Amino acid sequence: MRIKNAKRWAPSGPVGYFVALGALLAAFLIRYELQAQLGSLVPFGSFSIVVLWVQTRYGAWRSMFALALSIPVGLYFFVPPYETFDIFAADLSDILAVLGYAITMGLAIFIIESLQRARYESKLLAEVSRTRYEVLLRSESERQSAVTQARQSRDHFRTFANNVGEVVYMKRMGGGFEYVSDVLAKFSGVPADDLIGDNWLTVMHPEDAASIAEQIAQITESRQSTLSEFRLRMANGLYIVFEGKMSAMEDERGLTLRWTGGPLEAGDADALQTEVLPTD
Amino acid sequence: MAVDRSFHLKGNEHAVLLIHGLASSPLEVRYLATALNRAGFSVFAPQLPSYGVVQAGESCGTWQEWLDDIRARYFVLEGQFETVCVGGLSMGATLSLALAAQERSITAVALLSITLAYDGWAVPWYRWLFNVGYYTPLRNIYRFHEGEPYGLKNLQLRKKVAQAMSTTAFSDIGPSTLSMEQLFQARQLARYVESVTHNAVSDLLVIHAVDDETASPKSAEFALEKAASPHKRKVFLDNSYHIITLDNERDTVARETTLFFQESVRRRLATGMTQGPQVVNEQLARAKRLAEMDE
Repeated sequence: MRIKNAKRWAPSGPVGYFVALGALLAAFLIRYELQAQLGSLVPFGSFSIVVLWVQTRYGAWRSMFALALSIPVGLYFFVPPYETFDIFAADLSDILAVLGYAITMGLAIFIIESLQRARYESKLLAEVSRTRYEVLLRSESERQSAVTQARQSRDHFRTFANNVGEVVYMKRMGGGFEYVSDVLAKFSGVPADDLIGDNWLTVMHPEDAASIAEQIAQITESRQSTLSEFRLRMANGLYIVFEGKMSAMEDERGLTLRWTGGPLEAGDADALQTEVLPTD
Repeated sequence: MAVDRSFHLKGNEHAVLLIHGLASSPLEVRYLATALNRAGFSVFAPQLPSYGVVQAGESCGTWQEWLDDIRARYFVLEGQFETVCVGGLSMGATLSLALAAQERSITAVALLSITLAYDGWAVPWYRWLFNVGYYTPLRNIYRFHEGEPYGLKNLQLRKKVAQAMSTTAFSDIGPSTLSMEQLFQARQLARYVESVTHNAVSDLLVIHAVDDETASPKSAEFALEKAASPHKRKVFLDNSYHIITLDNERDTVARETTLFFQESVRRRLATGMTQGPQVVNEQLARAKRLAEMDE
C-alpha cells in the first residue's frame, strides 16, 4: 500500500530555505578560509556536506535549492581558473569535478529522499495499525460491557421472577420455552431445568395439553394473543387452574423476538383452592 | 443569500456542537450528528453565515468574526446543557481548537481532518502563491477550483459529488471553488491556532486520514503534540481522504467520536474531569499505558 502523503515528510514553509542559505554561507566561509591550503582540491567538499544535511532534514526542494546555489559559487571561487563562470576555460579534470559533484549530489538527493519517504510511510502505517488495534480493543471492551450488562439484567429478571410468587415464562419465536420461573418448579415438584423446551406441557392436564399447544402455535403464527385457561399439576398430584395470555417482546423495529407471560390464578389463594381438581 | 442547512437533533442534557468545513454546510456532518444523537446527545450543527456558503459578491468576513460567531453559539449551549462537546471537520476542526484554546469549560473536542496547512498530496506545488496573490488584484478575480478527488476515496460518492458540482456548483462536501479571501482568512486562523494550541485543556480526539489530500497528518500531529489536554486520543485512518465524515470509514469516525464524547462526559460528571475512562479490557488498558509511555 502506498501513502501519497509520504512525500510530505519534510517540514513545510520557508524556514528550510533560510537554513540552507545559512549553512551554504558557513560552508563557503570555511572552504574560502582553506582555499590557500586546498587550492583546486575538493572544490565542492563543504557544499556536499551542506546539501546532504539539508536533504536529510528539509527534503528535496531545499537541498536542490542548496545544490543549485552551490554550483556557481563553487565554480566561481574554487574551480580554476577562479573568478570566472567560463567552464570552457577550465581543464577537463575541473569540468569533471563540477559535473561529478552535480551528478553525485543529484543521486544522493534522490536516494535520501526515497529513504525518507519510505521511513515516513512506515511511521504512518504503524500509526494506522496502532489505531486499528486500539479500535479493536475498544470494540472488545464495549462487547464485554454489553455482556456484563446483559448478565446483570438477566440476573435481575430472574431474581424478580423467582420472587414475584407467580409463574413467569419466556418462549423463543418458533421454539420451546427457554425460561420458566422457579415458582412453577416449586408448584409442580419438577426441577426448573426439566421444564425448559416443550417439557412444560408435561405438567399440564392431559385434557388441556393438546389444545394449549395448538393455541400457542396459532398465537405465534397470527401474533394475536388471547386469554387461555389451563390446569397444571402440582407436586401433590392435584391440578390448579391458571389463566393468562402471552405477550410479545418486540425490538425497536417492531419485530417479535420472544413471547412471555405470567399465567395467573384469577383470584386469591382461597379461591384457587376451590378450583383444585382431583387427579385421575 | 445561501440556503440555511442548519439542523438540531434533540437529545439529552449533554450537547454536541458540530462545525462544518470552510464555505460548506452542515450536510457534511449529518451522518456523524445522527450517530451522536442515537447515543443520546443533543446535536447542534449550525451553518455559520459568513464562514459557510457565501454567494458570489458576498463577503466571507474575517476569521475573528467566525470565531466570535461560534463562541456565541457555544455560550448559548453552555447555559442550557450540563456538558458541551465540540467537533469540527477540516477548517471547522481548526475553529474548534481555537474555541477550545479560549474556553476551558468545553468537555471534549473532536478534530476531524484538522487543517492547519493546505499541504496534502493533491494541493498544487504553487500553493504558496495563494499567500502572495492575496495582496494583488488577483484577490478579487482568482478562485481555487475544487477538483478530483473532492476529499473522497469512495469512488461512487466521488462520482455523485462531481455530478453535483458540475450542475449546481455545490454538493454535500461544499462548493466547487474557494476565493482567495477565504483561503487567506483560513490561513490567518490556522496561524492563530498554532500560537494558542497550548492553552487547550479539553479532552482531545484527533481523527485524520494518513492520505488526506488537503491537509497532511502533520496538522493532526501538531495539535496532539501542542495541546495541554490531559486526555488525548488519535485515530489515523487509511481508507479515506479529507472528508472523513462521509468517506469509507465514516462509521469508524462516528463510533470513535461517540465513544470519546461519552467517556469525557462520564469523566466530567464523575470527578470534575480528572479520572481516566472506565476500561474493562485489560489489553486495552495495557495498550493505553504503552501509548502513554511512547508519548
